[in-house]
Order: sequence, then structure tokens, then C-alpha cells
Amino acid sequence: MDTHLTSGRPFLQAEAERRYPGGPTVEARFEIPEPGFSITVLFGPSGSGKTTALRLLAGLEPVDRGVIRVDGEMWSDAETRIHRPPQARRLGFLSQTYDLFPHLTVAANLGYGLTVPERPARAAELLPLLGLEGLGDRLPGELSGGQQQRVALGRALARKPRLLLLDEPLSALDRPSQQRLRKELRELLRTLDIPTILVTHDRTEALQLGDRLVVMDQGRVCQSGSIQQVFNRPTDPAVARILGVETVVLGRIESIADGMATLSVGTAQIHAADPGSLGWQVFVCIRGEDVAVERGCGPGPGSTVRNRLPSRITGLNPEGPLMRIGLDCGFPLEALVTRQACQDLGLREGDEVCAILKAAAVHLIPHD
Amino acid sequence: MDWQAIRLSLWLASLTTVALLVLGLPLAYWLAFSRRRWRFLVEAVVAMPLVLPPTVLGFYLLLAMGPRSPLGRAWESLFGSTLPFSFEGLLIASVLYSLPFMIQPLAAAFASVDRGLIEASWCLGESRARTFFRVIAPLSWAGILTGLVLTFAHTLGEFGVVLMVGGNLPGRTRTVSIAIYDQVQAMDYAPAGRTAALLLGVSFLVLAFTYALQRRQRKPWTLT
Repeated sequence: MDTHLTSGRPFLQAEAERRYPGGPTVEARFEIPEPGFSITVLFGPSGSGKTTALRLLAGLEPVDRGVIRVDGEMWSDAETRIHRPPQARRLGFLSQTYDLFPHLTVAANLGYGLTVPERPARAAELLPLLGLEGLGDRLPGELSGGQQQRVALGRALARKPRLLLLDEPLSALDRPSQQRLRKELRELLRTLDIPTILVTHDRTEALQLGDRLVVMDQGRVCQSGSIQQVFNRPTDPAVARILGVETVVLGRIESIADGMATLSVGTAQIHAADPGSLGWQVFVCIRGEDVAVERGCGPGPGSTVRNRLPSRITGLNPEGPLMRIGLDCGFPLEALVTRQACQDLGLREGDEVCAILKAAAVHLIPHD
Repeated sequence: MDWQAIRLSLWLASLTTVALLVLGLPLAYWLAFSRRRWRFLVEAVVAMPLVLPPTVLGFYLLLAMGPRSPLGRAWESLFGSTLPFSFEGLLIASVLYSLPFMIQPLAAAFASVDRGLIEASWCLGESRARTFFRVIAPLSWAGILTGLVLTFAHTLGEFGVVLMVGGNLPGRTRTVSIAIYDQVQAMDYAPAGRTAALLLGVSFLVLAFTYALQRRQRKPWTLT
């Protein structure tokens, strides 16, 4: 189990490409440094190759170039033509459509990958864990979408996989179920201590579930790293565009009163609309176009704005007719304003300014 | 009624169906899932009995089984008898002649099984063979049943190939369709009519039973 630590090799190392003749090339290029619980999110717009990357890892697509190495074993190597079939990878794979066997009961689906004597005990163990007590004899067609999702997850977990691959696991569900299951999913995976790779195009899902982010676009991996690293330092405008939100920082909810939450973020305090039941730890998401910049930072009489944050300008980056202003207001914040407005105020790096932010523009995503 | 011919026909149809099931499962699996470029050639060969006149197929089979062909010689040296005008020769001819009636429903049923289910089984550690028996075959039961019934009924009713390859030897190669033909030729209309009515009734009942079963036991997942 510890071989990868002594040899300094990451638990999972993917440097693989799939080439479609006359079509696109899709790459899976990222690492998971350590075994044990962590969620790596493959994030990108639809058609960016996330699912194909996942299928390369599962062994459902051949690798045309490069290698995939997991836990000290070579899973795919295009050069030496090694292709370990999916049967021999001992992984859990959950597709977008769940793919439950329609002719088998819930219990039989859960036990499908096990030997016959193992099946009853494991099903009895999994059913309550997944909140499916008493449903063991049902057919998948008789279950709700959320129940089907949990059976499919349970089936993937039943064999105690070394690696779990989840392809948009919640996308087939309605929004309230998604909210609830996200929290449950992360807790369950943490308990089971399985390294997980999750594909999603949903930013909220990526932030709520992920530890590490791999941004994909047009078959390529554009950037990977911790969530905060990637969101706050996108390597290029394409990544920033895909992420669609400039500032993502961890904050703590300090108090909630009259539907307003007060958060401490870095050394600053900000106000946001209380989105209901949230943990105390949240990701605070702020779009650049929702941040305005003024010279003075006195209390704004007659203004509805709740957040007026004294800040220092740390950088000015022109982007077409717009200017990206990097601010330090106790946490790194990015504002997107017109270049004209920037010139009129005569803004320069190092200037003390006021960052103005409506509480309604602060989006909170729980991250416990 | 010529009970000997009826028994022979039922026996021939049963053996043909069993032989084609054993042969058909792997061949249909290959046709449903192979990505070879020349797969269409195999498909065309399998479908040939649908369009060839039975006399043409029978003619080539007769040549292939003859004492001068490699197959005929090999058979003779192995079993000490010749294939043409024997029950064994008839069985080989029936298997070939009914090939599309078994293969096409099987291949269509296998191909319509959701690819995701098959991959899910692989990822759960099941080999391709075990995936076939645990997922593909159970979900293709309607196609398998159709293949069995069509093969049985088609073999029961074949005439041209039987006449070419088997001839008309009572108790060995004289099937029910040939018995009817003989009776009509001999102006023996009454027994011909009884045998024909029996064949008509059996064919109708078998097909009606099959379709009724498919409808009654249709499970939610077959209603796509």
C-alpha cells in the first residue's frame, strides 16, 4: 500500500491520449498524489472530453498514446501495448445513466460484482448505508431517480474499488435532490476512504464536492490544481471563461440574522444573503462584473450596497475594452470594469480604493 | 396421415433448432458486436437463404456433399456412409437453410442491449462470456424465443432443399411437406388435406403462442 510513497510516485498518474481518426484528440493528463479519500473533479463544458477521459481510466477506451499508472500498476501503455481490461482494474464506475441491470433486483444489482456467497451479507450492509432499507427486492424500474442513483453508487462501491469514477452522478436528478445528495455523497466517500474522480459541468457541484480541479476544454486539460488555486489563478482567459467566476475563497459564516449572513473571509467581513441551511464553512463566489471600485470608502448614504471593502489594487490587466483589477481587501478579489472608467478614476497599482459589492451578488457554496 | 413423415419432420426441426442455437449464439454475438470491416460480407452470406431459390442452395449442397467433394470424402471416411439422401445430410442442409431465421433475431436482440449495461458488467469484473450469460442473454429472451420458433417452424415447412438433398426415402428423408406433395401427385386429396391442415394448425399455434408470450411477459425495460 505504501510503495508509491517510498518510490515518490503519485497514486494515479495519467498521461494518456485517445485519437479519433478524422476527429478530435482527447487527453487524460493529471495526477492524484495520494491514496485515500480525495475527490478530483474533471470540469469543463459539454463536449470537452471529460467523459472520454474517464473512460480511458476505466479501460473502456484504448489509449493511443501515453500511459496510465495506478497504485504502482501499469493500466495502459500505448508503447508496449499494455491494456489492462476494465475487469482487471478493480474500479467502481458510475455512468450518467446509472446502467442498473433492469432484470435484476436491487439486491442482485448491488451484489453483481461479488461471488455468490459474499452477496447477501454485502447487500444487507449496503442497503441501510444507502438509505434503501426494504427495497432490496424491487426492480430498478420501480425506484425513484434518487434511489436508482444510490443503488448504482452502491453497486460500484460493493467490490471495495481502489478508485471510483463518477460521470455526472447527480445530473439526472432534480435540483433539491442534487443539493441533498451532494452533501451525502461527499460524506459517504470520506467514510469509505476511496480516491474518486468525478466528472461534472456544474460549477456548484465542482466546488461543493471537489478537492482538486482539472479543467478541460476541447479535449485538452487546461489547468489542474486545488480548487482555490485554479479558480483564483486561472492560467489563461479560456480557463477563466470556463470557470465563469473570478473570485472563489473559503469563508466562515459568523452569524445569521434577518436573512443576512455575516462571513469572515480572510481578514475581511462581508455580508451575503442567507441561502438557508449551510455548513459553517463555505466557498464564497464573486463574479468580477459584480464588483465596482470607488475612490473613497466612507459609509454610502442612500445606497443599498451592504459591502464596502477598503482595498488595495494589486494588479491591472487590460482585456479588450475591459480592465481586470486585482484587489486585496483582506482576501484576493477581482473586479471587472470598463477601461474608460478605470482611466477616469486614474487607478494605479498600489492605490487604496473601495471595493463595492452587493450582498445579493455573493454566492455561497457549502464546503465542509 | 403419414405419421412417419410427421415424426421425422418434428425430429428434424427439433435437431435443427438445437444445432442452430448452439451455432447461432456465438455467430450472432459476433455479428452484433464486431467492428470488423468485412462484417457485412458475413451478414450477406447469412441472409442468402432468404433470397436464394431452395433448388439453388440444394444443388450446391448436393455438390458439396457428393463423393467427389472434400466434405463428402471426409464424411465417408469418418462414418462409412454418404451424406446425400441421408437424414444427416438433410440436417446439415436444414441448418444452413434456416440460418437467417435464427441469426437475425438473435443478432438484432443482442445489438439492442444497452451498451452501458455491458460496460457496467465489465467494470464490475465480469468477463465477456459471463456478461453475455448474465446480462445480454436474459435481456434478449424475446429475440432468442423468436429465433427458436421461426427456425422450428421454417424447418417444419421446408420443401425444396429437402427434395434436392434428401430425396423421398420413407422414414429417412421423407418429411411431411414431401408426403403432402406425393399424396397430391397421386390424387390422394383426403390424406393430403389432413396433413396440410395439421401443418397449418401447428404453425399457427406455435407462432400465436410465441407472440402471446412476448406480449404478456413484456417487461418495462423492453418498452423503450
